[in-house]
Amino acid sequence: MRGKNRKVLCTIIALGLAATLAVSGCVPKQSTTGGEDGVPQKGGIMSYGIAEPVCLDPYSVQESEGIQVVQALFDSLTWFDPFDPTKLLPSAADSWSSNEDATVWTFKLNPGGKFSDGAPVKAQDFVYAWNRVVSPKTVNTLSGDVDPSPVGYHLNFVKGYDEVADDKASELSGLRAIDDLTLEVTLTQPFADFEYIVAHPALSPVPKALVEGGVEYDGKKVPYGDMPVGNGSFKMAEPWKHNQYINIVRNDGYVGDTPYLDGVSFRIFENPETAYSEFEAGSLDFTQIGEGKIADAKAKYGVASDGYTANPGQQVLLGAQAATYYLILNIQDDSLKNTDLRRAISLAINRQAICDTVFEGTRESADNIIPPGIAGYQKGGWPDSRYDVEAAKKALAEAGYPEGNGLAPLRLAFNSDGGHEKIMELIQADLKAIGITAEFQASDWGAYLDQIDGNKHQIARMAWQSDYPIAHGFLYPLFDSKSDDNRSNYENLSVDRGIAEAVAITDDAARVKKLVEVNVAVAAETPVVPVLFYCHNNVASDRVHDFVLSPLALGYFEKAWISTTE
Amino acid sequence: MIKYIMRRVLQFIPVFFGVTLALFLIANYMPGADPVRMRFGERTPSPEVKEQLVKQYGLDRPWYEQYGRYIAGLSPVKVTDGSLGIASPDLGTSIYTGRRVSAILGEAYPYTIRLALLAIVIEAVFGIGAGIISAVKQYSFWDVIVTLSTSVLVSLPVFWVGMMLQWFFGIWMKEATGGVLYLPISGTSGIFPSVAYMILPAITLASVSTAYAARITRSQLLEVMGQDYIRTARAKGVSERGVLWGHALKNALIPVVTFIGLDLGAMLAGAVLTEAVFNWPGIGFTIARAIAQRDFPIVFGGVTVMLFAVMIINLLVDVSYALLDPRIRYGVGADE
Amino acid sequence: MGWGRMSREVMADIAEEPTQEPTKESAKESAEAAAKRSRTLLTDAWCRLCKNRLAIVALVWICLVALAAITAGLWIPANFGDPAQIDSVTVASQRLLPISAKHPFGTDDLGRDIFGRVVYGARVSLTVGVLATFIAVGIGVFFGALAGFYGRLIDALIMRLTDVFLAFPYILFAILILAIMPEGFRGVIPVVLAIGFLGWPTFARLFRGSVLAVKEADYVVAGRALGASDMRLIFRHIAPNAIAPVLVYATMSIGGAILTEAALSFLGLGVQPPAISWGQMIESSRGYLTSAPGLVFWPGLAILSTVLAFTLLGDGVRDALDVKAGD
Repeated sequence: MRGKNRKVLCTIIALGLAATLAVSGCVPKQSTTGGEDGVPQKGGIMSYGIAEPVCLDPYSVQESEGIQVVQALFDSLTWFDPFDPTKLLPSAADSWSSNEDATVWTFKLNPGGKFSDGAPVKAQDFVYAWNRVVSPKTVNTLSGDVDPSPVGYHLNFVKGYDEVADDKASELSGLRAIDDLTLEVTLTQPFADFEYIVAHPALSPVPKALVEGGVEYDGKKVPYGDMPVGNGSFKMAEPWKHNQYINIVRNDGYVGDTPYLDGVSFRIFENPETAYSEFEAGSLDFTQIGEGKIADAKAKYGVASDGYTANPGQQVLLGAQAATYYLILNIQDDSLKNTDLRRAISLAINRQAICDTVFEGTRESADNIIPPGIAGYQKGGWPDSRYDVEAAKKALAEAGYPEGNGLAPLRLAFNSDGGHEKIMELIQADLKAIGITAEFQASDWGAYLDQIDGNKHQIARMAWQSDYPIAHGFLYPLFDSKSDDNRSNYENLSVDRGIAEAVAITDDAARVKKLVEVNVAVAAETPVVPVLFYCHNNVASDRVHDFVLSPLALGYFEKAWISTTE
Repeated sequence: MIKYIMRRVLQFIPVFFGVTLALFLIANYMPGADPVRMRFGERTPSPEVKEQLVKQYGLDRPWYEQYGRYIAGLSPVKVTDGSLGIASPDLGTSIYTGRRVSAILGEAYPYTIRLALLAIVIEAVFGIGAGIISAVKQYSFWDVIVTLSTSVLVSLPVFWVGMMLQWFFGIWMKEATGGVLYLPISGTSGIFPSVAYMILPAITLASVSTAYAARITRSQLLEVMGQDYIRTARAKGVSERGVLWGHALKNALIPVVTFIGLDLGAMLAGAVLTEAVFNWPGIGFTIARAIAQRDFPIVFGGVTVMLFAVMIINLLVDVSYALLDPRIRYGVGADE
Repeated sequence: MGWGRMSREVMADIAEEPTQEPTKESAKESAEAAAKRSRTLLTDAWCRLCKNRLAIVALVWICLVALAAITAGLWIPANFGDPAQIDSVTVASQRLLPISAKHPFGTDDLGRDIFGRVVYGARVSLTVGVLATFIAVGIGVFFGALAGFYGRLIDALIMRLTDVFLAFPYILFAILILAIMPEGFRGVIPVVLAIGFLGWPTFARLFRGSVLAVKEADYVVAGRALGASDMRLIFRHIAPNAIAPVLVYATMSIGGAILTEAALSFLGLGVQPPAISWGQMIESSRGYLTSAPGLVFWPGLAILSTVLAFTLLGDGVRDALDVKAGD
């Protein structure tokens, strides 16, 4: 039953499916690979194990499986460098600029951009697509029912968002197609990171005629959601076979470099363990490695030197992901409002033991809430996020509970369906060692969410991966007093002010510097306890070359190739 | 006979309403996040979107109204624009995926049926075979073995059997025999187009039932062998073999076939544990996942289809029982 | 899935013979003699049980497991370490150790002694098995008595209710029942309640059948003529003569309940750590099937041996009481 209950959201990784891991020093490095194993060959289908996506229609895509496929089928305005997600690359947009306070953005589209049916990509297609994301009246083409997108928040800084979301207007007033190739976006507040937001696959352009009329396949009309037509380097070969496979093929009309691969066959598995068995049997080219099998896989298949690029003999990918596993400490709680107690908890946790036992030495202790690979990460950025029993005991005494005397048992909440139990057992043992009694409060995912939504938690586990690889994607949602995702109920007006100031700074270095200052201020108060950084735990077959799995856990098929001669 | 069938169908009606009503009540009082909330994961949903979805699925209505709508959707007779018409039953839309429930169940059921059929074959062949051996050679070494092993089989945790089989055939045998006797641990498609990938799940699913089938075969056969007409046949000089195959088995197997038939019904209702161990995307797995996701339309639809499937199979079993058993057909003694 | 399967088979038996004819002897006896007879019956049955070697082995094994579970706190932590305690400093060197004198079954992935955990696990299994069966017997006998004694509308209502319960796929029903338990209410008690609640229909039908069988016996009719109250009739005269099949099935049910508890824990819905259950031990070791199969093997063997003991004891009790149930 493990982890099959739900899909991992992209915004936030639920540890369940991703029994992931980290190698030491997993800061992304540029790969040196390429032609070592010969010249890239054209042709071949790469089979790729994933879980069933929730949605392939960009408007509602949010979890990692859906994003993986949509990303291959669509180009949004900008895109990240696969090795270094802090670097932005042009995609559907050739160039872009903003005014001085980052409130008005202008994107110039690539004039050669085409949908895979041959229609040119116009600025109007973005306007249509983005309104679909925000409107509460959007129809899901699979069921024909109204089914609004859960990810409308991507555009909540765009002028007119509130009116459209409340169904008082049908179109975002801040969105304007100046001509076929120029898109102008007006924001309600300065937001210098907006160029990262627009990289999200949910904000890809969609062709209105096909969304509303269906896509022609084999003489029949297929709903757009089963056979999305996009502007990416691949296109659907046939409609989505739910719970079985999604086959995509090279889009020869693509405006950029066309891929070497003939196509990718996403094979759908309920559970990564099954997929791994298939991989071992030789019928999959890429999948996750099952729990408890890392050491075996490393020995058999060899580890990729950069952690991200798969090549024959270097097939196991263990690079760091931009995601953090942490504990929420509810500051509104009578005991946990004590900063020293929160520090004591953070100092008491032996993070390395969790990495070594539960994850076979393939995850990394978290020393910051911002994960490596995101601009703003600093080693040891959260000074209390380390294992130091003596310091923990001292902090506990300073909190007024020497050796835990006088402290009521704390409730440690987690969802029982994601394989968190062992991590929690280790944390419980560590807390006991300094005198803190932690009682388990495990519930299924639905009841767990309800508990956190209802602010009934004391300590609760959570994991966070930003939709966009920017420090703001961690600091604002988790620590701004206005954010709904600030489950610690952390309230620090200088932090709020610092974040607001930072987003208006258009100079990248200065903005990151400001955010780092904010992060340092938050760290001093320990509203959360960073525990682990996620890492890849994937493996490729020995015929796959130059396939890159980015720190955002997205596979890049653009440069991958397959040696067909055995 | 028709009257009998009618009575059985009528008896099904309160069961159907009882089960579905209980489901709606349970769903209504289940603590935890509402079904719509589940779609958003850890991120707090925007209130507008949530409200829209709640309305869309009618979750803002009281439970009895939702129940009424569900039954109305199921009904093949529908009122549209004031006039009665016939439409295919509507199981609704999954809240988690936005897809039609009928499409989701349509994908899961073939897996369940395939597995159930193979398991039933295993159960019939091995269960009846072992039962016959142990009855014919009563109190022999083989009888003791069969009797003991049925006790062991009914005491086995199904999921543990599955895992031990995976370990033995999927891992140990692969290493020890160089892959000769290797059976794939699981896997629902791909390089095993044959039934190879179904063997371990089917054995697991069949394990407990096989033991019961063997026990029933044994006790029935022993009972029949002691009856007058068998003694008569023996007195007439029919050989032991002839008595067994020509006379005894025919009557002794009727309850066994009934048991196996009912078991098929139960297997079609989904084998949650076997499917969980082998990641088999069948109906039990689908419903269990839907419960965790609070995706109630799938739970309601799945259980409804399941109830009808089990009812139809049980009815078929009863009818064939009546047709097979002369005592029931003629209402007189067993002697032919 | 023990209970679901078992109950169907028992039901098949009962359905065939809903009204056993009372024996000729009993018809002639007075109510008092019947009570006395049931007492001597039990003594006879016990003598017969003692001659069944398999059943005695099973009984001894159950007593051993129970004894080990009750006294576990006295000898396990001292010899094998606290089965729920983890030391994060030494865990890396203590995990997945092979079988040795110090660790008869080796250690698990968090460095705890598997033998100690298996012994502790018996506490949850036996508690759930016995308590859940008590609840099921209690509810079942109550409704079965009502249905059998009063007949007509009450009977029809209760029988339709059992139909509804038995029509539900067993494990799915258990999952649903556990899902509606109030928030924070997890562990042994909800599991006991859920399993007990799901087990009653079979007992109700069994007991109803028995009640129907003895209801018209002369001594009951005589008792009624003498003005005995309904309650007195049911509990003084009918129950002692109708309880035998319930007793047999209850013995087997303990094993079934243990299996169900293990299955629910395997599905992640049973007891929570630090409480230890065999099913949960198997669940949390799934990933180690390749590298350390012992983690899965030992708790499974514990389940098998304990449930098998209850099955064999149930068979023995059935033969001793000469009841037709099971097969």
